[in-house]
Amino acid sequence: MKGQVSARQEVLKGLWDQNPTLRQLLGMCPTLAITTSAINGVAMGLAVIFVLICSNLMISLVRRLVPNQVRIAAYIVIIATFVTVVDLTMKARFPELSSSLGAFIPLIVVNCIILGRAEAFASKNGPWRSVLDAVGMGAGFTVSLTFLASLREILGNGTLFGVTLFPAWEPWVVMILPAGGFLTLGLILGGVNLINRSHEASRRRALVEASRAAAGFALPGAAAGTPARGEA
Amino acid sequence: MKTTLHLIATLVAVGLVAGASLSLVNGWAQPLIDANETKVKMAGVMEVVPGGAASKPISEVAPGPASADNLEAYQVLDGQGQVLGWAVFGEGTGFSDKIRLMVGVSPDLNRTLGIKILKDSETPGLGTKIREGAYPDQFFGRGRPAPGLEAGPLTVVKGAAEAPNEVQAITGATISSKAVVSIVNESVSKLRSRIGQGEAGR
Amino acid sequence: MDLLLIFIGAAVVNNFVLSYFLGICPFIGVSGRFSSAVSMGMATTFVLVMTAMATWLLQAYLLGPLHLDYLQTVAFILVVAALVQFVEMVIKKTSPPLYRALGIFLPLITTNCAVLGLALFIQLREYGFIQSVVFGAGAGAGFTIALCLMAGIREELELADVPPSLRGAGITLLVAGTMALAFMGFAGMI
Repeated sequence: MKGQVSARQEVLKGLWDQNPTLRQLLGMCPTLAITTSAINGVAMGLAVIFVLICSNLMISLVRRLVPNQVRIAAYIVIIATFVTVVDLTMKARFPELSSSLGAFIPLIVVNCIILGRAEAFASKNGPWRSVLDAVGMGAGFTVSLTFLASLREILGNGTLFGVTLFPAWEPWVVMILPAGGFLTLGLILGGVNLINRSHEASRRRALVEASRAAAGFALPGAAAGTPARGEA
Repeated sequence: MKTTLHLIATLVAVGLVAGASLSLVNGWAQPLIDANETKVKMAGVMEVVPGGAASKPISEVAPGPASADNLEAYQVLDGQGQVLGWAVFGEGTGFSDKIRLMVGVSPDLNRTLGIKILKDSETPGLGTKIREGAYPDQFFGRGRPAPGLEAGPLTVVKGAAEAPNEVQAITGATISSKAVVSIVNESVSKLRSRIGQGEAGR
Repeated sequence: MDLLLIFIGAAVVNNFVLSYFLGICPFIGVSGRFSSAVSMGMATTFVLVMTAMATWLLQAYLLGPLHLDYLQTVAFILVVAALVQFVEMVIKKTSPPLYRALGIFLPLITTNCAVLGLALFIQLREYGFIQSVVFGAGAGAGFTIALCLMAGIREELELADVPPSLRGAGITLLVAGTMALAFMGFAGMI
């Protein structure tokens, strides 16, 4: 349990540094396909969080029992089971959402985020850390999805969560068509890279200045503003 | 040999636990899913025949060779027991997936009363306009008289509809518009052949 | 005629990659070089057709009659995984040159959403056996077309002056968006 990485960082890394959608480019299919309205984005995000938490927890619990040769097959069955639970629950409780997400709920099975986290994290870490990792990754996915979906819904339909924002404005339908999905995500990725690059540059500049000011005594970590560590 | 057995045993165990837990969840969910579908369908029945207060399945009104034509229709009555029309369920392939809908027709089967798309996966922003707006309004007779069915099956036209059996297509979603109309035509013709020109339709 | 429509529909009009967003991960990941795009496309097409057959039979003769529809997702993904493994073994034994060309791509196909997506779409649309096979072939053709077009464009892009922030995935997605716009023009065909 006493890793070098604090619990808070375990969660936070999924939101920006290792954001599954914007940085790792995982799970692109649902990201592009269902983000035609903000509510779809939120629903898909929540479904993925649920599956991710359950499968990460389950896999990290059974990781010592499953022989290495069949681990992928076993993981896939575990993931598919939780996905089916989500699918059936949504059909039973939220039929409208379920029909607008269509086949993309069962397709969570092949969302690379989930198998990726199972293989890269849950199979090597304890249950508590695996759940934290799942929460962070799931939240990062949900936030990116909701952002992309809101943008597309506002531009393509003139609404946000179904509420009309600009009654007198003819929306650009192309934004909620497939082409708009590619274009919006491409520009968002460009924006994220831009932010990161200027961040990097200013961090490097701050580092240089700090070390100059302290005449070489400052620790690089302090100048870079390492986030305070805390236990969740 | 021992390892192979171990591998197989692990997979079988995982599979059994997964199957068992899913069958539990399914046992809880399936009745709810069925109830949802029925609810959506029955709400559709009342929506496509405006003013409807009660409905009877066609098997009570015009029993026929059930399942032969897979007809699912309801006779819709108002509060006084007057027949207002029929609501027919139909499904068919749209642009990307199945479209399920309910269409209302007058008691003499001569014109449509309304339409309700129960389920579709059409392209958001284009094909999804079959759900609400100017396109379904045509079937309700809003703006211009509802399409007449006595002159033969409905057809889809680009641009304004002129003949009574014409329906105006959605710009950019001709395939979806045509799919809806062909489902309507099929449903109505099934109903027509079941109740035979109005003998049991009163 | 019906079969031709299914094929063309899956290959260009409703291209799996550009209008259903299925198989985006390999589309972005493997479309850097034209030769690997062709190999990936062929391997995926092969698996798609096999999957169409296997899952259709599974549903029609096992899951359907036993009312085990809720096990569909689990069963289908297992079939896909087993199939990919099997195809890999067969190719390795029978044709080493083909294995060298496709080998590294095969394991990736299991998590290609196009494969599971195909199996699910076949059930949603209630296709028959022959229709399913044609649908699978069309989907594979569509995937290959999109992948090869993208690879061709990206090879050209290497010489272009792309803004630094958009290099890599960003420009790929923007190009894909433009291609999707172009493919919308096929909608009038069916």
